[in-house]
Amino acid sequence: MGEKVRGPLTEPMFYILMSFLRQERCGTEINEFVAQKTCGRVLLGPGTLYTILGKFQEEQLIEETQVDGRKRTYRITSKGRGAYWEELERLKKCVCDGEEELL
Amino acid sequence: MKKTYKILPLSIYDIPGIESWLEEQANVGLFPVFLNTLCMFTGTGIPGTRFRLIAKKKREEQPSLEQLELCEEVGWQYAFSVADIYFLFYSTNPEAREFYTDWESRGFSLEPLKKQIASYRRRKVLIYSLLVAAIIWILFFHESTYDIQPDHFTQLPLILLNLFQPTVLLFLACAIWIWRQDRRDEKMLNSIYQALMQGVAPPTSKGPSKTIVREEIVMVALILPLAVSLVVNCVDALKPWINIPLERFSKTYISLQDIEREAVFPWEKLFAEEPFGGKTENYAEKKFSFLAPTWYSVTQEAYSPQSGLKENYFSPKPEHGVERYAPNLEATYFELWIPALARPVAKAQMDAYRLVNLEWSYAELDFSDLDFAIYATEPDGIWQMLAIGRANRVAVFRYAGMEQLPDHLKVLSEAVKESLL
Repeated sequence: MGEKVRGPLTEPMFYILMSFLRQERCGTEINEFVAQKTCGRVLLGPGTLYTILGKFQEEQLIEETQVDGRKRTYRITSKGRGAYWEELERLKKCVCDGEEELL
Repeated sequence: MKKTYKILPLSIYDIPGIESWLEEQANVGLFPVFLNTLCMFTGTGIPGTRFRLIAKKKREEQPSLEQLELCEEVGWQYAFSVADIYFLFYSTNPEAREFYTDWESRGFSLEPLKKQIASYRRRKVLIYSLLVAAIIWILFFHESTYDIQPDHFTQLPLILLNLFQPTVLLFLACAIWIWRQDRRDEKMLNSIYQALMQGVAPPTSKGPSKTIVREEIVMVALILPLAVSLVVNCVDALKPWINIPLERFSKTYISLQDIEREAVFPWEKLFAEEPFGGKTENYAEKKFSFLAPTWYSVTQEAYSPQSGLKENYFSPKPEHGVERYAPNLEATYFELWIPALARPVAKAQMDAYRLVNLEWSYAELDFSDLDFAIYATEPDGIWQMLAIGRANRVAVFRYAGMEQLPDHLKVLSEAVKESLL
């Protein structure tokens, strides 16, 4: 049976995946990264963050690397990078289409 | 600390509804300490508190320490686990960031719950199907090696009477009630999930409902007597309607001595020591069905005072007085709500009395006082059966002894002459 085709990533999903591109991160670091990157436009509630991390782990887009006391650290997998690039391409096309119509 | 108890007036899957209801309770100073069908509150509620239910991935899951720390950082406190389905978080800080900052992630969080419900439904359907299939097979298709005259459908009327027993009806009522509530809850969760996954707010809850509270009360009213009934049915000592000594049994029945030409007596009058199974030789047992409000059986065994030294019906070749004449009469009496059931019930009871390794011959007898009389014999054997009916009353006898039951029809017909109630 073929793998389930995943739909587009939501905005919080996209930024959470983006946060892992350069380094492994824990929950608080992800929150800080997303808030900083979007200048506070995208804020992650604790429910949103942990639901998405759970879903990414389930879909093997990220994996847990370390549990240090209360802190759990995750890193992106090659499948996760693939999903990120796929979403980036989709967004680029969206932007391109949108701009084209303005010309 | 004073506790306040309330019945949850919402479906357990009406997440926005429960959250709003808890917020209303907090506004009147109540804080939840236990949440399920029955909810417990203390008087420590702070007006303006927000509550959020977070679906668990697994029933036994606990929130991770990191998760709790992050929640606390943004102003949310963990309260407790709700019905093994949710974690309950609350915030008294109006500035605290919303627990879910987008609808889709809240929708994703409900996926495990949806899967659990679907799996629970599949398991339930499977178990009920297997149970029904097993019952049908046992009742209608199973053939015992020793049963030489099987008739699978004869016992249907007795099955019908048993289906109308209070315990069975309570069980069916509970099963239907639970199924109805499960369907309602599943529809509720699906509508919330679908909305969230489309990126829109979940449908507005209809709010607390008196109907739901009444339904929960009905559920308890059904489950409590069912539980008591099941326990009582499992422990013979708790059943006052079985093994009733005949001295204490007041309903109409035909005494074994009334149809015996030879004097016979219960063992107590003849022997110093009880015979094997003596304590349960003469007893009555009551049953109840809404289709047969009067339904009981009487078992009797008696002994000839003359020992087996002399040749008799049961001891043609007596050896040292070991055997003696000991006739046995079992009878079941019914008074039915539906007179049309009389004959089918009589035949069903005859089938229940049938000793399966014997070949039986059935014959109709004419008797002016009766609507029907069916006589069954096993050629060259000692057993006989007789079923008689008049209006809505039925009596079925199984006898082992030297008398011929048709010779005693007049006496036996007394059992169905008047109401047994």
